[in-house]
Amino acid sequence: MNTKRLPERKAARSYRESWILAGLALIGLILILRLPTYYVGLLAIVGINALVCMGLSFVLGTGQVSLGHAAFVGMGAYACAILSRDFGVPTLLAIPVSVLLCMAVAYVLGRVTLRLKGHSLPLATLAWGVAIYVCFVAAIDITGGASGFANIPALNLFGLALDTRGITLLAWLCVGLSYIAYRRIYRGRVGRIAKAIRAQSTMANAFGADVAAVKMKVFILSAALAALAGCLFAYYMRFLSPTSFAIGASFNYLIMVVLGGVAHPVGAVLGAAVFVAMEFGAQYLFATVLGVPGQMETMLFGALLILMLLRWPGGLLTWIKPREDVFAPPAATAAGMPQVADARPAVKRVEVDQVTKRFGGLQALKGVSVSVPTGRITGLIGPNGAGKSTLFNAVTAVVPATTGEVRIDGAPLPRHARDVIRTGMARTFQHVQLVPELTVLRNVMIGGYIDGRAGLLSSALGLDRAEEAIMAERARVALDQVGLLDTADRPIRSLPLASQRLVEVARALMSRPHVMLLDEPAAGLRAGEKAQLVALLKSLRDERGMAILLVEHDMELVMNCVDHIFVLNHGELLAEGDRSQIQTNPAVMSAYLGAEG
Amino acid sequence: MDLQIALFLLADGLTNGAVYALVALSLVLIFTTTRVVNIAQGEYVTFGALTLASFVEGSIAPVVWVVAAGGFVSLVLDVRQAIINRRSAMRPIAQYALLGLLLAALTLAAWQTQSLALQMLAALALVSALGPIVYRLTVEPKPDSSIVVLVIIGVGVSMIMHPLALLLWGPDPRAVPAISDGRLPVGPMDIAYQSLFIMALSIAAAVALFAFFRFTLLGKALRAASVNREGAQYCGIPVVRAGRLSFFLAAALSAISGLMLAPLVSAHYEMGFIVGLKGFVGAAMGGLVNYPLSVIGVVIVGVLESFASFLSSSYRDAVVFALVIPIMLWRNRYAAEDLDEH
Repeated sequence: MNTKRLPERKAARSYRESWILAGLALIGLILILRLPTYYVGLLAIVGINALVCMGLSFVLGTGQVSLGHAAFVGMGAYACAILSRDFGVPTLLAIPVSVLLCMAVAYVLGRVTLRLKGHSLPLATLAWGVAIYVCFVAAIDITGGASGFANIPALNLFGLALDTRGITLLAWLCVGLSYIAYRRIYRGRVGRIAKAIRAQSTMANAFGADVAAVKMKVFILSAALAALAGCLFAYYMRFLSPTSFAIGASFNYLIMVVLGGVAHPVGAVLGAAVFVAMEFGAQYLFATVLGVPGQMETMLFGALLILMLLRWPGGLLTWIKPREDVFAPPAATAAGMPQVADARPAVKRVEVDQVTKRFGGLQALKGVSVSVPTGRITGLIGPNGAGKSTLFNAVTAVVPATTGEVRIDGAPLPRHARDVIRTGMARTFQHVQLVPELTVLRNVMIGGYIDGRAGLLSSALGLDRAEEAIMAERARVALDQVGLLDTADRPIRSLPLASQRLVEVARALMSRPHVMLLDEPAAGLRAGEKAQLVALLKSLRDERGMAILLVEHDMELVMNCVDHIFVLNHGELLAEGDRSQIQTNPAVMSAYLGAEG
Repeated sequence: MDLQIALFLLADGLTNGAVYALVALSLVLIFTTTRVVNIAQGEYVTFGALTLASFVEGSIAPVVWVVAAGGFVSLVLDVRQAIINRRSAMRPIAQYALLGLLLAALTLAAWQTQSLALQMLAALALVSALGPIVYRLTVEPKPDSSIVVLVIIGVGVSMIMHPLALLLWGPDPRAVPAISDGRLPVGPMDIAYQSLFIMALSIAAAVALFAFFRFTLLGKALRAASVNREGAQYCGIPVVRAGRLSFFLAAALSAISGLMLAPLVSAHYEMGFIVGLKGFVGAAMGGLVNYPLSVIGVVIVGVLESFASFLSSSYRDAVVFALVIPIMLWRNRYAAEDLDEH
């Protein structure tokens, strides 16, 4: 209907939103300079909390959670305070030293937990958060214990001592810079894979991501931001008390993050602002108006936290929707269409040799041997439960074979699933594994993860533009091949399931494979789309010389395009041969149709 | 430190460990059946101890009103669910009414009586009832939440229950009598009967849970419910009832821990949270899924705590919680095959 007008509308909106941001920045500046000091102090607290939340929010975005982030803030604060008061270290040195210290601690915590199951990091950070808080209280000689750490010198920037307004300005400057950095990270290479990790770590792994390493970097970055926030807090308060960093404070950060929403870094800022306002209001209400003892507002926040998670898991971003980024079309030159350079060594043949797979008492594969050469479309068919998907998982190292071997040109299959794609083998999934928050184009771009170099830092600094433009263009080419180019900027959820399967094919193509493993790509496709898929597979075979292994139930499609067929039944190879041989094979007919001998 | 002090510390540590063991067992129970990492588990310890304290003082434990209100909200939700599913609304009403009457009778009896056993039973029943209510209100509405979301929900529950205990019972610690004040002489020292009770209870609970989940069909069905909800449901396993049941049992175990601990330390509103966290450190040893390893874990935690408090009381908890790092390191070696996933 009005698909044409969509980009224009989006452009107009983005134009408007940058004006809104600029306006907000100006209002903020005036507020900080003009408001009474007390309220400026509140703004400073909001800014400091927002810094912590931005880091924590991205941790949550990767499907992890830290329950002890206040400990990082506390370590940053105490380190900074001790360095500048007791050792006379200048501010500009004390802050980076404190930040590095926290990053080192985060590295250790991440190292011992992030390769374990999902609940290990929250447990470890919780325990560690309590331990470090106990140390703040107990180490009276160093931190002043429960009576606090006083007389912290003012933050001194190039000889200019900052007062409350100055610190507030500095804090919000940090918020602004981190916001820009995180915006870039969210939409960059790591941001895409981080979102994939949260819901579909198997898929992220299959496209070459070292899941634990990505989680680790995200966690360390969040610790660094927390430490920076701690430093600012120390210089703002000029006095530290351990209670600011107790476990309740960590829980509060969690509430801010959940309240704001993790889909976009603006959620962290919103969450921090709303939380501080609510806390202020609740304390006034409970203490002054109702006269009930302290801590009662905690109950309110606990209830709010549960309610948000159950009803509005998207947080405030459910209602305040930030703009979706749309890739500007790259300059339309002939060179704008980057040619597909084959970075990986060409594969000639994938061999499955006597592979067995046992799940407890169930033997899913009983010594299956299959050969998949290049330049051929190989079909793998069989009734449900025959072991087709298990074979797929064995070939891609997702589920290692119990015995037997998978060889790529004679070399053994890599041990980790994430290394398989680097051998030039890409796959689709029977149950579609796309990232619902991303657009079609960005989902396809995940396939290019292994070819990209941009990390957290280069994304944050905006150094990944050229790479991203090339990736986007390659993704468009891949989408064009499956006939879905016109849906590139739509959210993936708006596509019918059949088209989503084709997006999976495009994502696999994006990794420039020599071997494609397609798990029921045609399920739900219409006749025209099937013909298009068959044409695509044939062109990949003939023009690129690819090896394609196709698992499919649609016999018409299989018989239309495959050159060679393997039939699996009860975990065993029942027959192999070309189309006519299989069609007339009595054993195959009896397995499929249940015909008697 | 001579041998006698060391032995005394060891006995003390084993008692601590047994207290934490009951909480650790409830954590493992909940995690293996519902995937909830229940940060709030320690609060049931507090509630158990303070409820008993109220009964011992001859007053009606204020937790009754919480149970009544929570039960009523759960009833309304269940009736609504029944109407949506076009089932009879009478069934939940009858069930809730029966349970409510039972609890009310127990409460009244405990209020009027001097019998410690009856008071303990009533306290146990009331606090255990909180478990399924919490499950109904926080986990059941969205059963397919990820582990991380379930962790954060637990944080929310803890943020509610902790100040609630303060609101209901106030900040002052209360004394609770022990089951027996006797002491058993063992060599150069003597051990309180109360400690022996706790240890016996913990070991019995651990053995029972381990055997139940390892050998019985129902136990296996409950574990299946957490691994694959839908699949379990198709197999006829009542997943929702399984969740409520495990929250009930877990609340009961933790409440027992509170009843047993209260005479040793005196009951106050902050006692449970840190006990819960120590249970976690112990249960982390078994990756939150292994009963025997969890018991070993909490024994290590308890003994370490006892020796640490002798050496430096102010750093005691820091030492205990720092233990999580070596435990996780040790888990890493075991989880080697698990490295690539999740």
